[in-house]
Amino acid sequence: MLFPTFVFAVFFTVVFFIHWRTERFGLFRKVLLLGASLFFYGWWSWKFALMLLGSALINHQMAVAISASDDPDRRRRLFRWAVAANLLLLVFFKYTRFLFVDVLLPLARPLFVQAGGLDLFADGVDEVIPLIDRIILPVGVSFFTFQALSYVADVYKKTIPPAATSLDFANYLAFFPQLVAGPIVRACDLLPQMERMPGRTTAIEANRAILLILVGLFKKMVVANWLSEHLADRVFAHPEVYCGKDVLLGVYGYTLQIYCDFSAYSDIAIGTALLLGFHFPINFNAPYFAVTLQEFWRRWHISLSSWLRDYLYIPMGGGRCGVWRTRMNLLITFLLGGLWHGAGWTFILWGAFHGFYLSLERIVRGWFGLSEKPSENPSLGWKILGRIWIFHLAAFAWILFRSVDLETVGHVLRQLVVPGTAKLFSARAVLILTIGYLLQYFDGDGCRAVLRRLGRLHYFATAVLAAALLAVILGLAPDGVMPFIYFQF
Amino acid sequence: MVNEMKTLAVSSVEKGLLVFALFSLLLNGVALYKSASLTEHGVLQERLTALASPLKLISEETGLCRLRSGVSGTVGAWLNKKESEELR
Repeated sequence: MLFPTFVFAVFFTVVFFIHWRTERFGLFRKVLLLGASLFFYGWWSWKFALMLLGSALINHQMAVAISASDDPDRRRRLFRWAVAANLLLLVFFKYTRFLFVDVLLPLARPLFVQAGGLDLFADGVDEVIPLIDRIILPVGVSFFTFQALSYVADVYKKTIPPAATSLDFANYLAFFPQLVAGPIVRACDLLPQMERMPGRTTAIEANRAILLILVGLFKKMVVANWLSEHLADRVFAHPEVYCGKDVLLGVYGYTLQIYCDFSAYSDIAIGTALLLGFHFPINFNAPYFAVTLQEFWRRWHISLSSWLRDYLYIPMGGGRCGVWRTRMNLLITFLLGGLWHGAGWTFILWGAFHGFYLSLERIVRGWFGLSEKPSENPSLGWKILGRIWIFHLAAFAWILFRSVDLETVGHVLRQLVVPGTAKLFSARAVLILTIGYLLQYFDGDGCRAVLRRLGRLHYFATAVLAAALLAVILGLAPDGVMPFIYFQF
Repeated sequence: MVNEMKTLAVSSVEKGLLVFALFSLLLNGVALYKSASLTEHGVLQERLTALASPLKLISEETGLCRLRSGVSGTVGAWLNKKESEELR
């Protein structure tokens, strides 16, 4: 079930009224919310909905067992089992093909050739690959697996107690607004809300929720879909037929498309959760306004970057173990961050590029004695230069991310310097790219600032205005519904 | 009830959502009918068009459909027109 569809609108309206009208039936209400989340997920596949439920039950039982034990060895053992179980689920569905086709086969082939068993090798490959191709990637598996991992780790570190009941944990893990594409909400943020469940006395930030949803719909349906259809998909599908200016436009297009697409999902997720009385932390905060890459990662997919920092980078030693170890930790963290996005060398290279550049940035900052927060630097010129540089750096890295393989990366980079007449350049392209960039002003507290300027509105006026704006967005959007980019992760 | 800007009582949000849903249906009645008629021939299509036809009628009679069709026919059409340039 996709957010910008009529089916989701009907589903959400029904869930909204049941959720708020069943306050007196505490347990029933929780069961209903879980049922709604499983229905939302089961819209794709009921088998995977059951798998999600199984994952929730196993993780919760492991967390309870970890929490109940005083023996450090047993706790550690249980924690490792829980981590292994989650990673196994992720690796099986997401990385089996990559590990077999892109890693194992190239390594094994020379051995078979040397032993004269090339026919045997070819037969084996022919038999195994169709089996691997039958593995379907469950939508959002990377997101809910990371949520489960953080929960088990937090219970192990005694940062949080285990959930009061399996039902509360299942509601936390499967909560439909953020289930398939994040944000990766931590148990310490959402679990207490699930246990308590918002009551009718809850004051809802309704205007913020509505604005977030409308901005999200505009970002996705108008801007991201346009950039995808008219620029990015064309250039990345056949880079060889475009000149340098068009390829550059395609790269800019994808840079803003991925921001508008992914932040749109987060906006709608935060907005729908708010309407149900649940609060999520922000996931984007104007990433292309960053003046260093470190700052970019504090603004882009914040829930993932903070997850990687807290559960990977810091446990590996973070920045406390000397210069070289810190650089290595950064590189490993971003390599794995890249791999989290997709099973392919292009994603690994994308992660490596970010990890490498972040290390470089630290070195340069050390040389010049620059501040950790350069955006607070008063120099406007420096800020503008920094923003332009980081935008282009991120755009360059997105070439690795967007290309289907390394060959396409090569094509795109080669075509960037090919002269010719731009075919994709138009007033529309400039307009949409500019709007896509400026939409970052709504991130973070931007929505609240807009609401402050709008002033007081009667709920009836808000509802009519929102309906009118929705009609305008639908009028501007092309026909059809495109899935969100992050669904594939 | 006047919105306190930051937050709203649940009852107001409920009423607001109902108003929003009603107006959204009326503003998009014609488009909903069109979508329903484009679904695969069969019982589902018949039921969906039967549900959407009163919405379409009210939407047309009240003129509320003009907002979306106006935007779609002007800015939307300009924005989403296909370039003459096609991939070779």
